[in-house]
Formats: sequence, C-alpha cells, structure tokens
Amino acid sequence: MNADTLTRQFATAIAASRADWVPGLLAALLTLPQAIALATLAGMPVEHGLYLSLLPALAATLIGHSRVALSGPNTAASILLYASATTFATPGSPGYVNQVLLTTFFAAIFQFAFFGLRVGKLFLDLPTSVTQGIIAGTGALILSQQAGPLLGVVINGQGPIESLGQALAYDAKNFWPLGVGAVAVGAGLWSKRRRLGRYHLLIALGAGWAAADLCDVLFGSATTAFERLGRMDLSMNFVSVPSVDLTELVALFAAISDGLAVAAVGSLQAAIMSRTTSVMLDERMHVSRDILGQATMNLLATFTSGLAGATSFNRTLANVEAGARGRAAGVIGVLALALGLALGRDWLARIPPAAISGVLVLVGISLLSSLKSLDRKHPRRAVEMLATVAAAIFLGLFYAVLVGACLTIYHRALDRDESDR
Amino acid sequence: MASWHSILPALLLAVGIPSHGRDGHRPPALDTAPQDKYGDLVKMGYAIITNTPDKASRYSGNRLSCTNCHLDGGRKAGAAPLWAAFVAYPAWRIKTDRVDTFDERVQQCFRYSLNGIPPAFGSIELTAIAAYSHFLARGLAVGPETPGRGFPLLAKTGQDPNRDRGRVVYRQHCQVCHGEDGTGIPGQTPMPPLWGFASYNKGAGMATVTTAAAFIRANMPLGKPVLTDQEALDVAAYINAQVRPPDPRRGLLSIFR
Repeated sequence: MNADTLTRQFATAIAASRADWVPGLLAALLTLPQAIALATLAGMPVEHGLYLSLLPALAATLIGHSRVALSGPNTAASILLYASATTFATPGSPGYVNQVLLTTFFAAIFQFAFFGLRVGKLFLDLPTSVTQGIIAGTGALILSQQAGPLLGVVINGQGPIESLGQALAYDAKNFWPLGVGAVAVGAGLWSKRRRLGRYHLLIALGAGWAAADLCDVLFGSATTAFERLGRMDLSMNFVSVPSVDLTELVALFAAISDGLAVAAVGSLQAAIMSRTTSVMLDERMHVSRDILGQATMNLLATFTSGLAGATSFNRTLANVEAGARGRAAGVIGVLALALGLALGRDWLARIPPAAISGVLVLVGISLLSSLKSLDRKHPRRAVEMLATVAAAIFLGLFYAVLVGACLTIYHRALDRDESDR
Repeated sequence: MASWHSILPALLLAVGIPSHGRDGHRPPALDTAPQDKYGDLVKMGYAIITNTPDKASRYSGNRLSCTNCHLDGGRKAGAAPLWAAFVAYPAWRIKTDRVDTFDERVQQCFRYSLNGIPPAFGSIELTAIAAYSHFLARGLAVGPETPGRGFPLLAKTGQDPNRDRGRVVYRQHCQVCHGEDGTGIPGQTPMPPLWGFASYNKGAGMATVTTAAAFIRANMPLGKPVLTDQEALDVAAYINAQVRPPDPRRGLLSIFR
C-alpha cells in the first residue's frame, strides 16, 4: 500500500466522520456529569466513573456492533453495585472499591459467557411497537429525571412519579437553575429550526452555561446558588487489581452472584438499545456482539480503576439526536473527554448541571415524539406500544420490555387457530 | 465523711462521662473511633478537615484547610470547634436569614472561607465532615450555648481598629509564618495564606474585622496568643484591607441595592 492510497483512505475516513464531530463533543460534555453522578450513586470515588468513561468505554464503542451506542457509567449498574458492596464496607473506602472491582470482574466473566451462549438472539423478535414504546418511555423517564436538577432539589425517588412529586413538594426550591434550563431548551429549539440544527444540543449546552455564568456575574454566585460539577483530578497511575480475601468468602460469593445480576442487567440494556437504535437508524442489529463489547468494557474497567457499566440510554439517544451515524462519535467523545480532563479541568469544573438538564429535556422531548408512530389502524399494536410506555413510566424499562413482550406473545397467540400445531 | 457532692466529679470521670468545664467539651481521640463504617467516615472527615485542598479537591477553591480556622482538626475550644457547631444546628443565621442545617453551614464554609463550590447534599465529603463532627460531639448536650463555641468575644476597647498599627503588629508577630506578602508558606506543614486569591473571599466570616480579631486574640500566634484586644483588632483590620476574592453574594447589579 503506497502513501497516496493511505492518504486517500485517511481523507475518506475524516470526511465520513465529519458528521460525528459534533455528537462526539456533546458526548464528552454529557458523559462528564453523568460519570460523576453515577459513580457517586455506586458509592465509588468519582474518578472511577471517569476512568470507566475512558478506555473501557472506548473498547465498548470499538467492539460492539451498534455504531452509535455509547457505553460507560449507567444508573441500573450503579444501583446494583451500591446495593451489593455496601453490605461489606463503607462507600468510598478501599475495601468498598475492591468489592466493586471484584463484582465488575465477575460481571465481565458472565457477559463473556452470555456472548458464548448467544443469549442476545432472544431480542431479535422484539416487535417495533414495543421498541417505539421503549423510546417514548425513555423520553418520559429522562424528562422526569430533570425536575430535581432544574429546581435545585436533591431527589431520591424510586420512579418518575415519586421523583417528580418530591421535586415539586420540596419547600426550598431554587428557580435560578430552572431559568438556565429554559435558556438551554429555548436556544436548542431555536437553533434546531435554523441551519444550525446539527449543533442544536451543543448550542443549548453553551447557552445554558453562558446564562449561568452571566447570572453569577450580575447577581453573585451565592444568590443564584447554581450547582457546579467541581474539579476532577485524575492520576496517571490508574491500574487496579482486585484482591480476594479468603477469610471472607461471603464477600467473594456476593461478588459472583451480584456480578451475574450486573451482567444480566448490562446485557439487557445493550440489547434494548441495540433494538432501539436499529429501528431509529434502520440498520441491522447484532446483540451478541454488543454484549461482547460490554464484557470487554467491564473487564478493562476492573483493571483500570473503573466500575461496572452498561450502554447508556440517554447518552446513546442524545448521540443519535445530535446526528451521529458512526463509531467516530464515540471515539471522539472519549478523546475529547480525556483531553478536556487533562487541559481544561478548572474550566470543566464550572459546568452547571442545570444546563446539562436543559440538553436532556430536548432529548426527552425528541424521544417522546415517537408516540406519533402510534399505529391507529392496528389496535393491538397500539395497545402494545401504550402498555410499554405506561410500564416504563410506572415500573421501569426492564418491566416495560417484559410487559411489551408478553403482550406481543399474547396477541400472536390470539391470532392463531386453536387447532394449530 | 465526704458528701456525695464532693466525690461526684471523681465518679463522673470513673464512668467516663465527659466533663464540661469552662474550656468546653473534651472531644474523644480519633484513634478511639469505632472500627466500622461510621469510623471509616469519621477518619475520612478528619482527613478532609486537615488537608482540604487535597482531600476535597473537587470543591476546594483555595489553599486553606478547614483546620486553619477550626484549629487542631476542629477540636480546640475557642477556635470554632466542630463539636460545638454540630450540636448548635439547625439554627437561624443572620447571614442567610433562615434556619440552616449543619450540612448547609458546611456548604457555606466551602463557598466563602474556601472560596470554592459547595459540596452537593449527600456527597461523601459532606457526609464525612458531618460524621467527624458528630464523633467529636459525643457526650455533648444539644444546644447553642456550649462553652467554647465559636471565638471568645472581644470586649470593646474604646478605639477604632487601625490598619497602620496593624501592619506593625503583622510584621512583628505574623510575618514569620504567613510571609511578608501574606500568601502563606507552602510545604509539608503549610502556613495558610491570609490574603490574595488563594485565601478566603470577602463573604467569609473571617473577612469581618471583629470576627477575625476574636480568632486572632484567642489563638494567634499559634500556641502562644500574646496580642492585646486592640492589637488583634488592628492586625485584623490590616489583613482584611488586603486584596482577596470578591463576595459571592454580590454581583455587578449589587450596586443598585
């Protein structure tokens, strides 16, 4: 291969990935607060969420089949890790970190087993009506999760209804973040209608951030009381090797059994997102390879001071909404995050979560629009979709898949003759 | 025969009930913290209090540590001890004009004295500081009137604070540790900066001359407080007249208030 061919190939790759620069930058900016929040949710030092978002997330992007899926810190995985490890040690302590890394290791091993057994094939039959229901349900969930940050309220509700209720009932609401969120949403909607559509989520984030800084300058940061992300310190020595204490076998057994739970939940997330993006982008799906990507990510996370992660619904769907069409967005996202943390940590420390919430409101609204695809001509398909949406809102996404799948099987059974064999 | 009143203090000591003399409460030693999850948090809290720029780097905004004002890791009576603060909250504060919780009070320290970002509710940093303060307050009755709380108030001296006299006091007693330019001395045992952009901002309690003077009179020079009330007021006025970060409560529009 001569130099000309190489240059031409490189130029083609750059041209093809041009559309992925904007989603890539957005992915980096969205990952940062979520890595911090989800590592905290898992009871881990926040740096672990960031390490998971670097090398392990890059591995998932490169190995998984779904090109636009973004993996890394994930709510469901973090909740499971917290519930598991908190029995054995204080969140944040070295013993706790070791227990989480051990659980992450076993999650990776089980996911390699799932890949070998080709468990992902189970999801090929999930019908479009259910998938559209999951998309709309995710939109509703994302919207409800923004109530807390936008009202300056800490919420710990178990579901969207409870979270929303807590946020609205809270006495000491702060309406400044709501203003910043409104500026972000307004700027995003305005730019989407103009030729800046490709950049609308980045513009939303920038406008919200600028509004927060301007309010601080004009009124004082103690008056506005915007939350800010805070400074991140990453050391270059991030290698980690979990140890096993043979005098405490119960901790090892917990790491194995909870590793299985994390592996199952992570694989399910990857499968749901694989099905969802295959419908949105009209492309083939290959869940088993996505699970292989998750397994590799968790294995790398074990040895690079991470924690177990999974495919992220809101980052993946924001990626699609921002126009990502290839793996380059995920790769650029990881590189931009690493570069930002290395060079601009004081600057990134000032990102206001309220502006991020504004971006996620835009993503939520966009996902809710999949309700338009409600099939009115086929009542059974419509019922499947609406039941999936309702289950997502009231019970969570996993039950939504279950409800949708059961209804589909029931409807198919109704269509069959009793004498069929 | 000795009356029971006379042997009561000895009895109290024997059963381990802390005494509450004029010096205030005697907080338990750190190495007596329980070997459990609570004890882990207590130790984490101590590490944050004594090395804030490093252990709470996410939120810290300058080179000060909590222990620079809350001396001896927040244990010392008359130096805003954490044990007295812990049992005094929730309490109404003139600064915020509302009832603040202990966690909110710690957040305010981060915003003003540490010129940083208030740690979020539920963050490990805030929880660890609360656990450590709770541990120090063991055996103490809840209430705002704990002897040893805050800094001992200064009596009126009859003279206004004078910065010029303060400069002389500073050179004589403070400069050796805090540096000629007031920016402290970094190192293994860092000496805190008293002004400049690595010190507390204009919204901090210490930026009020009387508060700073009360702290200085009771505690400075460290270990051998020798200044008179007037000298403490003068040097506090001199220190607080220097450049420091702005008050986060005030923005450009504050000029119209």
